[in-house]
Amino acid sequence: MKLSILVLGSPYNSQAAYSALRYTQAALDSGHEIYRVFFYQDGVHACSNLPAPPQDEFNTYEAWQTLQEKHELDCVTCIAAAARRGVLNEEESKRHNLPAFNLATQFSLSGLGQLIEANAESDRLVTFGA
Amino acid sequence: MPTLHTLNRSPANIQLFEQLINTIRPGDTLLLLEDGVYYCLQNKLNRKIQDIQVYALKDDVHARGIPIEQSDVLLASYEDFVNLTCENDKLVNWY
Repeated sequence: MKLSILVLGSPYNSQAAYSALRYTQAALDSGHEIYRVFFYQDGVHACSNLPAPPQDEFNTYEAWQTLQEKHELDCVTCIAAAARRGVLNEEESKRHNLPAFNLATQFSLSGLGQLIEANAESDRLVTFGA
Repeated sequence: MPTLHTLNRSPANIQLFEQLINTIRPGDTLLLLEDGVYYCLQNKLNRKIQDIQVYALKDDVHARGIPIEQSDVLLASYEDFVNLTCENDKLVNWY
């Protein structure tokens, strides 16, 4: 089946990003296609490459980046939700005249249209709410 | 049309559960995950939702140390979660 994933919660504030990660892994292991993973609302925090959790704790950020690379997942971060929470790529950082950028390269910034399209194109949209 | 409902909030969120109860239909399936697995501690869960098979995500149950031996709730792995998503025609995620 063609599945899409919606992540609405940030690591540490909710389990959404971790549950979505485990679900996505299980779906891929079962031979399903992941059409898109969309990070929205506080879920965009999972797309930063700056968090440095203690080494003896599970690193949700790194796990998403690794999973994206391994399966070449289409991981999309909502640009408006990300900008207002300080999750920016180089282009957005320059546009807002800010001193740094932190969007991990495994994620691309785009609009809510990508979520609507994922919902229309997929057999199921699985929401991991916060 | 059989529907899979997922619930990730604890019983403290009464309004959410009321909404779920008013929506879920016989033949549907309920999957408890994250703090939703705390519903396994309530005996009244099965009285309120009849003809609904209830699953609880195994890893989340174990992470919270919840005993489910005496309940009608079945344990589900993430693979089972994926299968339930595909087996049911519709999916509603309550959060």
